[in-house]
Amino acid sequence: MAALIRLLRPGGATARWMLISASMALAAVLLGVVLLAVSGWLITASALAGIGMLAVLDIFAPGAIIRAAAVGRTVTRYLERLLGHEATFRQLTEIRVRSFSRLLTMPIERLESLGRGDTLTRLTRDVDVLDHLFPRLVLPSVAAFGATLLAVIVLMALSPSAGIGYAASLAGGGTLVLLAGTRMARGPGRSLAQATPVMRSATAEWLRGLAELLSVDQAGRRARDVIHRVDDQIRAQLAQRRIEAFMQAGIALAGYLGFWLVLLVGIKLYADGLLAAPVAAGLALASLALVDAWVPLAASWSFFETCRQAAGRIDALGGEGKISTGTVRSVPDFGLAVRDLAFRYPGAVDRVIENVALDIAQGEHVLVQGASGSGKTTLGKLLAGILTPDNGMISLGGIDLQRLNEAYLRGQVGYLSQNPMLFNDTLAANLRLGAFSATDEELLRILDVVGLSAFVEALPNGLESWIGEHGRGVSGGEGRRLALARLLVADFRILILDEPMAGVDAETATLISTRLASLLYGRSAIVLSHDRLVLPRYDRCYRFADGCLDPE
Amino acid sequence: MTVLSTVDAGIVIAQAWLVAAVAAGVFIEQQPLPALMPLMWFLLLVLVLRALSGGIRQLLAGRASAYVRRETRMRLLECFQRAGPAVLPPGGELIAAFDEQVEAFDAFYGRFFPQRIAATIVPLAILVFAFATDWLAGLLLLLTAPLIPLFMILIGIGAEKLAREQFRSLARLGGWFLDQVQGAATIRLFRAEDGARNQVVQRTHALRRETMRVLRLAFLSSAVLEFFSAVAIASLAIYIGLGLLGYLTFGPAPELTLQSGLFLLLLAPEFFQPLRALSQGWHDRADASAAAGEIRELLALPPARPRAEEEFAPEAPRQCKVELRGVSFAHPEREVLLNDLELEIEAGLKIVLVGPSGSGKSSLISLFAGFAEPSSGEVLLDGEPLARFADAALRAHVGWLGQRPVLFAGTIAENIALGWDSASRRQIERIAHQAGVFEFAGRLPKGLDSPVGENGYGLSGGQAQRVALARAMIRPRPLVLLDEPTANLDDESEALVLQALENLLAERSATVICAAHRAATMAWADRILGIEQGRLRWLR
Repeated sequence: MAALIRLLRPGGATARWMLISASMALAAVLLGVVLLAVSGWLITASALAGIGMLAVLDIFAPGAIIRAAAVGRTVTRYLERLLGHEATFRQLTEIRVRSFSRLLTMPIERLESLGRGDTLTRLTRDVDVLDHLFPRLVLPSVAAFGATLLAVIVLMALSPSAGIGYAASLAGGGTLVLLAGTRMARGPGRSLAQATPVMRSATAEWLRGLAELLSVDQAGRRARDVIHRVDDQIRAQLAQRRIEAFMQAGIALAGYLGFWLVLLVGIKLYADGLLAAPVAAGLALASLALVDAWVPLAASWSFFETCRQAAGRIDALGGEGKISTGTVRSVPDFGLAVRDLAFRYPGAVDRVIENVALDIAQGEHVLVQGASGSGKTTLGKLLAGILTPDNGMISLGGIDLQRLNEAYLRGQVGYLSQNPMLFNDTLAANLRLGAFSATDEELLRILDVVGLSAFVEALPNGLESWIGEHGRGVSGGEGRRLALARLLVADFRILILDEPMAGVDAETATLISTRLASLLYGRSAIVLSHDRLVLPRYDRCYRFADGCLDPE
Repeated sequence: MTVLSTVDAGIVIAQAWLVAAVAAGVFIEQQPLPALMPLMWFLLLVLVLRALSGGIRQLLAGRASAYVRRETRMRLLECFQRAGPAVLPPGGELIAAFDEQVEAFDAFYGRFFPQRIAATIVPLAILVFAFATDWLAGLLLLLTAPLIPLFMILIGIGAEKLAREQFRSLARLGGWFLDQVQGAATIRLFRAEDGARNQVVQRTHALRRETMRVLRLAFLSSAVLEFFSAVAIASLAIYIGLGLLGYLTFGPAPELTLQSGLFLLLLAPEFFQPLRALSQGWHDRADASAAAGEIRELLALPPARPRAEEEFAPEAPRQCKVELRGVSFAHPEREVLLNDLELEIEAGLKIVLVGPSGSGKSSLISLFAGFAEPSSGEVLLDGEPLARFADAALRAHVGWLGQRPVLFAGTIAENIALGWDSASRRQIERIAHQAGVFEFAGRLPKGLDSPVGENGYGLSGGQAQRVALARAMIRPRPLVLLDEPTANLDDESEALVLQALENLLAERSATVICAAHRAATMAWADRILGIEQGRLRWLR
């Protein structure tokens, strides 16, 4: 619940839109009630007047009210939907910014591993779920409760006993059913939240291993295991459905009981001469009209548990893992020093890095050569401060990376990963990621260095063309070079490049590496690669094998 | 569902009639309350039934939807299995279909479908009673809802357009947001958090302005329905009022009484209620039909082995002869990869298949494994067409190991035996020794019983491949296929896997075909077969 409030707490403008749309929803329900109540009043009064049991009847005033209520209900319902959407959209922005901000407080390595799995897709799905909380749950609830409250007040004025009876049956009984149902939905909600990812991963495992399973004639048997996971999910869903059915029946029962009581009390009051016949009929019809506002709440409130779970997951995401808490924001120089470095991935059998020592002075260019799979990438991530060593120390200007402020460190050290991610956005927006103020000329100059001048010229809108899913597709080699360009546009003091030329043909690679020299001047660079073509002029070269670094 | 809706219609009409009868009894006939109590009790019973029937409808709809989704998922798995790994599109797409898209059926079968039935039966029944009571009032309902089917189409067009617009713009935003979320690591690397956050705000605001413009118009269509229903109730009330007062002298109006008048008034909102519910649930239908389209496409995937015969199950020998007769093969909608191949491999021969990447090594292995069928020609095992073999018999003949080993959640020993329940512990240990699995498993606290796969120990590619090798070799198969078992390994791991392979093959009499990018490391090979530009050639 706390997580839900944290994520959904509306800002000032959003709250105003919510308030306006909620009052429209309330007005729509009330006008519907008025429409039916006055109609009932009119018919009863006319019938009595028609047989002479009532003196002269003015039919024009109630007729006008009925017409006004009919038009008013249409208008308010239209406004409710429109303004409700405005409010929803505004809240949608807030939810996205909040959950995104939470995500951005997580360590890079954790984010990368999350990106490979389902978690981030699920995060966006959870965010989508929360978008619906206001229009589906809050809006109809406010309208139903508000209208009921008014009805109770009117009834109280006419007959306290009718008011209390009605309040007890509809407001009391209905609310009780909603609260009980929501509480009961927790268990199945939790089971469902567990069952769905289990089903997904069972399916994923089955699909990934399908060739293997077929080859040992186990595909059918394992498919039955997957279906068992489907059954687990369906069982939880059916339990939820049973609760929803209970809520719907319970609410309707409370509502109809309220109506029945109002009818009974109305008749009694009329018999005692305390209430006019048309008013008694109008009240009964009003209480019947209110039931329609209550019944949809069963579906709305069953949705609550889903929202709570979603909010809990988003909230938990930001909580796990922490960014280093270092505070130092300046270093005397940009020399990197590595001592006694060792690293093992959690759960892995062997250490990837056994014992590494290395010194890179400011402005030096170093090549680390090693076979693929030797652990070069891990070494690069350790040097960039993305991974934390198990043993030993890495320092920048004599200060342990752990003691440096994270944002400061990120501003100094640029890292090119083996699978750099480009955004589905314009080319320029992608390149400016690390330098918002870079001019078009600078971008074009750097694109020329990485050999992509022709690529840009071929694009329909030059730098403003979209790349990725919605625009020009980018090949592996082009993507790698764009990512390199993006890194070079930003003003990093130290660059760590992991296989920068993979997927680029040898000729282009040689061309790029010769041009690169001028851009790297004054910056430190560590290039990790399986061949030495990448960096033709380097100050030193090391060979990395079996977790150890040897100079060459 | 239809029965339930008919019962519902009966309840609604009975309720309206009872309320009207009670009112007429009290106000017109001036009956005392005790005389009316039987009617009141009966009304209470009807109201309780109405509440219950709503709940029961929910339950039944939930069950129907669960049944449909379970069946669809079962059919999808069967279909994936029949199509086989060589034809299936990427896993992410399949999982999305299996999970989210099948789930979209829930809104359709669980919510929209019962609503649609109710929206047909209930208004129709009400109309019949309204006409029987007062044909003018009935006409009024009919005119404000000009023939229910026509009305439904009207709702459909408006609501569908609305749903589509809303869905499309939200999907666009969702896609963009997912992209940002997936790039969170990159954003952090470039210290671009603030810029990215601003982008989220700007994009959603821009989308809001654009969408609200569309919605302003789109919501009008549902307002029309709202308007009709409100105006119908209002004019009905005024018509009945005037009729009761005796101002109207035409048609059935003079015969109106409080009872018939109230009865009609109470029926009016019930007439429109199911239609309104339907229009609000219309987007469920749009989502479900989009999902159904994609699922239908997957269910139409052709099976990998359409000609297998259930009863053709020859006994597996210790080794078998393998032949290709005029075999051609092409991936769907691509150029011919293998062209009219002829080949004969004697029983027990151990072959290395070499060729540049993309030359069709893997496709050829897939053909031998029965993961795909040749577009023409035949693969023969001991003279029998492989296409005829029953699935289980084929698996008893052919063992297979791929490039990327998949370990399932479970222990190393379970992964080696993988469903072969009668494998003895001794057999597993023996094969684990030969495959070099013990070399690393011995260092784990529980040895072969250490958990691997999801939530287990992370094994390196080479370690996992040795487990997979043990799995492929523990079952005696007359033909063993190895599809570049070291393609994704570094030199050191490759050496270990090749060593394991050599140990295992030394004491096996099976026919072996191993695709490889380098033949030099396969000292055990009897012969080397080259493949290039869709042609086969013996190199040694």
